[in-house]
Amino acid sequence: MAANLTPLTTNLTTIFTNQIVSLENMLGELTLVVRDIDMLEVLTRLRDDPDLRFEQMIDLCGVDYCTYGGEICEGGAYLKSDIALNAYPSRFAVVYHLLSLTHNIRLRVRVFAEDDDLPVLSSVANIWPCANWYEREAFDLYGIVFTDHPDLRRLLSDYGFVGNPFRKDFPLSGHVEMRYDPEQQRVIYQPVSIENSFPASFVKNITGG
Amino acid sequence: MAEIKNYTMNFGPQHPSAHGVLRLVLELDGEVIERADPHIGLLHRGTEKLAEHKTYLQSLPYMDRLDYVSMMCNEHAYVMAIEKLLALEVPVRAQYIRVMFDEITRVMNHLLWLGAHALDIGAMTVFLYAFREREDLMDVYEAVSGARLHAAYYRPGGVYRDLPDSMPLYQASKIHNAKAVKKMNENREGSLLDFMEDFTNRFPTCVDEYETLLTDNRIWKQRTVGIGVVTPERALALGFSGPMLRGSGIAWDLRKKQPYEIYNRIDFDIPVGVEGDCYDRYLVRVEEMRQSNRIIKQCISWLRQNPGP
Repeated sequence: MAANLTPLTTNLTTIFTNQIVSLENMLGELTLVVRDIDMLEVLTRLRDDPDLRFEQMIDLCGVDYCTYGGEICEGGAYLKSDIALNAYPSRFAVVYHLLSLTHNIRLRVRVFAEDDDLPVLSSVANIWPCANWYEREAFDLYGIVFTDHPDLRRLLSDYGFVGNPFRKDFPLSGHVEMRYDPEQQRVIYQPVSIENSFPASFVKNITGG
Repeated sequence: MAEIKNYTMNFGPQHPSAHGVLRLVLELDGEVIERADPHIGLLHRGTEKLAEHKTYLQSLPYMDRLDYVSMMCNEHAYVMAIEKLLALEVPVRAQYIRVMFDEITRVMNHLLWLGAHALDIGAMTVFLYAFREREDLMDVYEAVSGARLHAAYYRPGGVYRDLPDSMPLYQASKIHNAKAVKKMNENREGSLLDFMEDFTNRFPTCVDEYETLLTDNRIWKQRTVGIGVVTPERALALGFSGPMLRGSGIAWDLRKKQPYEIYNRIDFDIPVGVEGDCYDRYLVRVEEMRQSNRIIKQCISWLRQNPGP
């Protein structure tokens, strides 16, 4: 069902005159991009303004754009691309999927983290409490740090895990594998022994080395 | 007076009373849980990472495994996203088939929930009753896809194949002789639609049976009424959806509010709770099973009138 996005577009442009970086309508879905310094104000307003009333945050996830728009290589993975660097201001972003039950409409909000080496954004756990675990997930899988988060710990990966598995430069096979060692009579970790199925050029390209 | 301290207990990751691998670090004050720290990653596969290295079609079977009691519903969301990106038009018959299987999946899901929930709070029988009907639905899964749980039946643009003309039959064995098997196969002689029609005729009585066991059961009510109350405001803030949200009294159903596929052509009602407690969520889900049955019936009659090529 294609919702009528015109009233929402008008409302957003009048309410957030100076805060909108871009507002795009693709495939009947509206995507709003805002700067990280404005995000808390914008998102709070999105929840509370009677013309918007996005009471629910359905999803929050991190995105790594470092291979975005690249060409498909052997094995289906994408090569590091220059398109992404031009199209997007920075490597990491967080995407919020909002739903307004009052107006029966959805909105996607995207905020880029300025620093590629240490992506930091504000936590929205005070606006939508369900953001707590989503932000822990994004922290775990992408290494995005959320300031003022009540309990920012890893959520999904193993105890003592090193790395951020959903970053595009993290190999599919991982770095370590686990096995039972009959001599030591305990479970041990060792470097992965299976062949990496990607050509050396891909690995070089994606790590930038 | 002895000095009583809070007690920290480790629960799981493997525990006979947990449904799957879940670890909880619990802080107890006597029998009351003061704090719980769930470690939920033990079943995490990194589906998104795996999908990065696969084609759309190769990733589809992973969707079954996301929520392994709502297999086809996950597939549906995934194929609809691809269809939207590629602007694919899905044949109406495929849409009806998918809606029918969505509702079959919903019934399977609710049956597992009902049985396991009742089992967890002390009613054994319901589990056996619920799994009796669940078995029939898994046979339908098998007939259509070859797999009882992880079907991988939906495809971007439709489904893997049209509905089969026959159901898998029981074979005679040491346990069931030819006569017994003949009786067991009675409603399986015809096509899948015949079997489903027979099921939809039987199923309301089955739901009555579950309700006889639970709805007015004093112990069941003692353990669900007023338990786990979620206010509508809290339900929204926590991002609830589906029967969890409706149990708290918010009339919200995507099938009505943002209808996809052919849901706008189908007649069904949405049950809504009042108190937002466990008991209301139970009532909502039981009524949803009855409504799903209605939807399946309508799909069957349309599919009969509009046979595939």
